[in-house]
Amino acid sequence: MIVDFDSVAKWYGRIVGLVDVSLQLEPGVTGLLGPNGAGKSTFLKLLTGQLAPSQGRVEVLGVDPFRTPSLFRRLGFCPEQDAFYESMTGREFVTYLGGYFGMHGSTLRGAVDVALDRVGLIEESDRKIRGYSKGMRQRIKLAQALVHDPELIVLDEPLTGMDPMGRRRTIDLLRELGDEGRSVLVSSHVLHEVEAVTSRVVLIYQGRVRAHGAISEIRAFLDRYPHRILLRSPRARDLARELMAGEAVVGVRLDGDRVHLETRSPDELYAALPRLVLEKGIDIEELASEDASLDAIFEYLVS
Amino acid sequence: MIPLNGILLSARHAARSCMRGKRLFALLALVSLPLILTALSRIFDTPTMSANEFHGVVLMLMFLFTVPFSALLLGVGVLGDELEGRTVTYLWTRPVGRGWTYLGRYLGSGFGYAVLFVPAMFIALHVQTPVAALGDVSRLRPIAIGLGGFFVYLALFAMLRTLLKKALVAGMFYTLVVDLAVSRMPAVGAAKLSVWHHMMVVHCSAFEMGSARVTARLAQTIAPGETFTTSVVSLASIGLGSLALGMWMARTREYPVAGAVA
Amino acid sequence: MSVDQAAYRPYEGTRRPGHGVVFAIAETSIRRVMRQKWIRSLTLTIVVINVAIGAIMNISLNTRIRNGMTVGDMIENAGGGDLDAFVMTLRGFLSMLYLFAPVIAALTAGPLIAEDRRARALPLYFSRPIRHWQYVAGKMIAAGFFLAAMTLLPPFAVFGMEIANAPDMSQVGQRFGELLGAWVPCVLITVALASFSLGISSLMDRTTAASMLVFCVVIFPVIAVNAAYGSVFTNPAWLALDPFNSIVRIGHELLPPTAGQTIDAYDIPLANAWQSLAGWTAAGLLMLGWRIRNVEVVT
Repeated sequence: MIVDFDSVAKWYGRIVGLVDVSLQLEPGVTGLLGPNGAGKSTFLKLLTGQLAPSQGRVEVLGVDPFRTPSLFRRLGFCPEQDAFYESMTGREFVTYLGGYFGMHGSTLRGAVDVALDRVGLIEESDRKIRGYSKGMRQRIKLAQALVHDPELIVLDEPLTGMDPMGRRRTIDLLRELGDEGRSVLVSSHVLHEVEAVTSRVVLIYQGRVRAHGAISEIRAFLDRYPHRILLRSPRARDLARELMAGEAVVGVRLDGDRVHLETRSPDELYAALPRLVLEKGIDIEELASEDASLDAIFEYLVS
Repeated sequence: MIPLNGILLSARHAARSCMRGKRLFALLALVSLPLILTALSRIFDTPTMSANEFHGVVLMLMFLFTVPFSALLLGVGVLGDELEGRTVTYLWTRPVGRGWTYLGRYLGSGFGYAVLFVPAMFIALHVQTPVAALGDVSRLRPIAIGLGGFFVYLALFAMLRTLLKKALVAGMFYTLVVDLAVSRMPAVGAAKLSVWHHMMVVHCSAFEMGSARVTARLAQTIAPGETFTTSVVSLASIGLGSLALGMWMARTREYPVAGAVA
Repeated sequence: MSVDQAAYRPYEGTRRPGHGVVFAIAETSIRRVMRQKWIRSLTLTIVVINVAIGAIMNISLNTRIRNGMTVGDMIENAGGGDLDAFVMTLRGFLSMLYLFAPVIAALTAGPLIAEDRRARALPLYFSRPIRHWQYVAGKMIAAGFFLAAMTLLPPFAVFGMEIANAPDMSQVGQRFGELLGAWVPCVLITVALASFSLGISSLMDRTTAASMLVFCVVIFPVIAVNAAYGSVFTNPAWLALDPFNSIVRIGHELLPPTAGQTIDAYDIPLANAWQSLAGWTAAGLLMLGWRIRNVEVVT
């Protein structure tokens, strides 16, 4: 267990940031999801020791982050805000912040080179940060979080402002970090990007953790919502009629050659499809689940 | 264990910030303005003023204007610069205690200022000095007092920033009300709140003042029993107490940084 | 509907007159400052303290005068003569302005343009039909608003108390004239500080630095003159460098004579006092003209 929140609440005067959050995170890559104002930043600030909980207990890697600065030898944090020492070059910035970990001389230089190379900024590292593009600024933030080779990396909206190539590269990097055995916690409100990185998520909404675990497990819990499945067939009407005859389907909608189904027993439905193809001769050209995505899950949870 | 590396890093960074851009310009203006003004007045107004009088007035302007205002500018920036620039997050997520980082930034700001202040004062105190007297070490003593007073002011204003978001306002009122106004009242307790007052007591007790007018005015604000020692102790108490309180506040208080701008 | 019919049309409705833009900018700026709770508290506190001090001083002086006591302990050069408590209170108020006006100017007027620069809002303003002078005028009104409140309200409150306690209404006209005599220097210092503070603000893109610079530059002459007059400076014209000395001198001209006031203010030639205030105002306007005119809208 790398992160342990035990009945944590945080409020700022009358504004409540988090309410009764109890959560344990295991090593690996985890996504932290929620709309703006959900409490993600508060969660991360508590986790990275910038705030102390109003109630409850927070432990990261076994220690209280607010009171144990030595934790940061093992934790790297990439903050959300676009704030830098603008007069520094990228290299100077990472070197300065890397120096706090006790590295110096060739060790520090080597670590900085590795970090810059990982984020793809080696060539631009000698330019001043004030001349960087938005994507470069995000990457240099990431570099300072990686320079000391931490075992837990926390990233707050790391993909904001990046172009598609930058996003792709960062997503690949996050996957690499996970594959190396590091733990990564990445927060975002862009659901499909988190989906591309990990299958384990924590969903936060209005200061509460609404769900956490594998996406598929979360989906399975949402029994009250029928699964939505899309089928495409040249004989859509016949297909719909045949499926409606069975008990697995609770709703059907036709849209040209597409059949949108709702079912509480997706497995039963999937088992019935081969029979329809073979016995009734109905070709099925496409089969897709419309709500196994995070968007759909999130919509269910917060509606 | 004292993280010397972390303290040195933050000190170096703070010292470099003093020597950069508009801040450097502002500090240079603060240290040189009294000298320029006095020199201009010598040229245009009172060419017969003695060197001692000239030095006395330069000292007054340095102690009453340059030192406290430089300390206000740098003091609120010890923590304020990082908070307002929202770069404090980087410092708070390093394996160095916040109190130590704060101390490092305090020392760095002080050192950076000393690099500007000492030469400026040296020049001011040696202008129009006969060549034969250039080796007189006693002329360097006001520099030590000015620098010491600066570090006290710096600790005080930096501590205020750890307590108040609007420390600049508090600092302005302190210099206006306490240093300028209260310190001129008959010294029954009230003037003892003024760092400037203690600096002048130290200076007047130990050394001769140049300007008779300044000496007479200061004599009115020195209470019976106030000596060199009592004022040094007061200055040390204000300075060290403020520094300790500032370090403790930095370590224990939350300083949430607002979210992303873009 | 064709594409042409669905296309953009310029607004052809009623538009605010030019001066409406000025007031809109002023109102927005004032609201932004007032949104900060601590500024509201600070300005209110200063007004209340000044009113209280003024009232106490007025009542106290009136009492002493009625009892035939002199006020030698409070004012230099007292020694009988014509003592008028209301006028002495007004003079006292003018001589105390240096204690809070620099702070208010620094904190309310100093950031007004600096925060627009920091937020990169100037291109947003000037890519609209807003003239540079309208922007400056609006900011000037906002800058002067708080200073005017600080400087005009307390004397008015004391005037109200004076009239309320007057045995009859015969003195209302005279007292109002005396109030105007105190208000004129207040308006002059408001204009001078507002202009200068805005000029400094237009140079900076950090509000803290702007406030600090305004404060330092305004306070320096106050300190320098205090420290150096009589030794370094012997020419009374130097006293006019301090704008607060200048307004005390002008107040001395406008208010009826009464015994007991600071000598230094009397030493300033009146012309120098006016020149000093004009200089502070002109310096601010020059800085504003230089910085604001050069704003380019880059697309």
